[in-house]
Amino acid sequence: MRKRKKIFLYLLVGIFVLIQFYPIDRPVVNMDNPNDISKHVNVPKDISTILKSSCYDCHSNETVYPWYANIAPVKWWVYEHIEHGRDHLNFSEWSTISKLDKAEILDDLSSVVIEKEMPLKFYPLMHKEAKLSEADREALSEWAEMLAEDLFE
Amino acid sequence: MKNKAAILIPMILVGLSYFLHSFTVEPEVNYKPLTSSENIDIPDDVKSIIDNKCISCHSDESKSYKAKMKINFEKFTNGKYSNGKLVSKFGKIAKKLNANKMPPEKYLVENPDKKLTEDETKLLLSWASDQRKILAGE
Repeated sequence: MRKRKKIFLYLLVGIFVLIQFYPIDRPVVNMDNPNDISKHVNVPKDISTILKSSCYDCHSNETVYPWYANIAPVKWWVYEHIEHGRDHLNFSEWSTISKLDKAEILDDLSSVVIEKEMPLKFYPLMHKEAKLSEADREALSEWAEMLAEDLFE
Repeated sequence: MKNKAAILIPMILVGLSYFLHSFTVEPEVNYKPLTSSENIDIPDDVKSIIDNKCISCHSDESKSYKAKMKINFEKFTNGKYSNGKLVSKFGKIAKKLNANKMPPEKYLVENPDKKLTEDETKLLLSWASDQRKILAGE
């Protein structure tokens, strides 16, 4: 019985080591983004702080990877989420998005933060600073509505 | 004996829930009919489709918070939606209709008369895309 347990443990460790070599592309980080939203529309300081701490890890090119995000199997899951997040909305590419798409993105932004669909529930568990207060949510939503108003005046 | 109880109890519960359900009366709600505004033109044929098949869920009086949060036709004409918001809403209407997602399958089971005919869908789609273009200045 004891021997069996030992074999099982070795097997687990072996698998853990092996999966580290499984090749998977890490979403690229780029800190120089001339198309970033902050360079094209008015982003007040408090909003900018919220965006950076609660949104930018998945919705910009300025992702900050914690150490455990680079270890399989966690990284498979994290990388996938980041790619998916950037696909939906990438603040670093704001000026390249069409006006029509911006209108829908801003509409979604204000509703998902109010509905607490974003940030995703698990995210603030590992990133305490990402937790949004009720006031933060209101502020974000109001800001998005204001930008939407300015789109087609 | 135990077996019998295992079958009977769920049966009684299901029966009871049906029984109670038949007593719940849906409240009568008077929906405000849609009117055109300075920003948006709503032709009569479009208006009648929306009034008949959409507005009971997509208006201030709706019981579905989610439905009225996503699209609220009253806000189309009372100035509560900005032009940017309207552009988004018209885009979303088109997406949902193109994907055959509205009215939702589940709703149609109990309200089969609310299903949009092909012509109605076409009409709504061309209306939404026209209005969107006008608002966006295209």
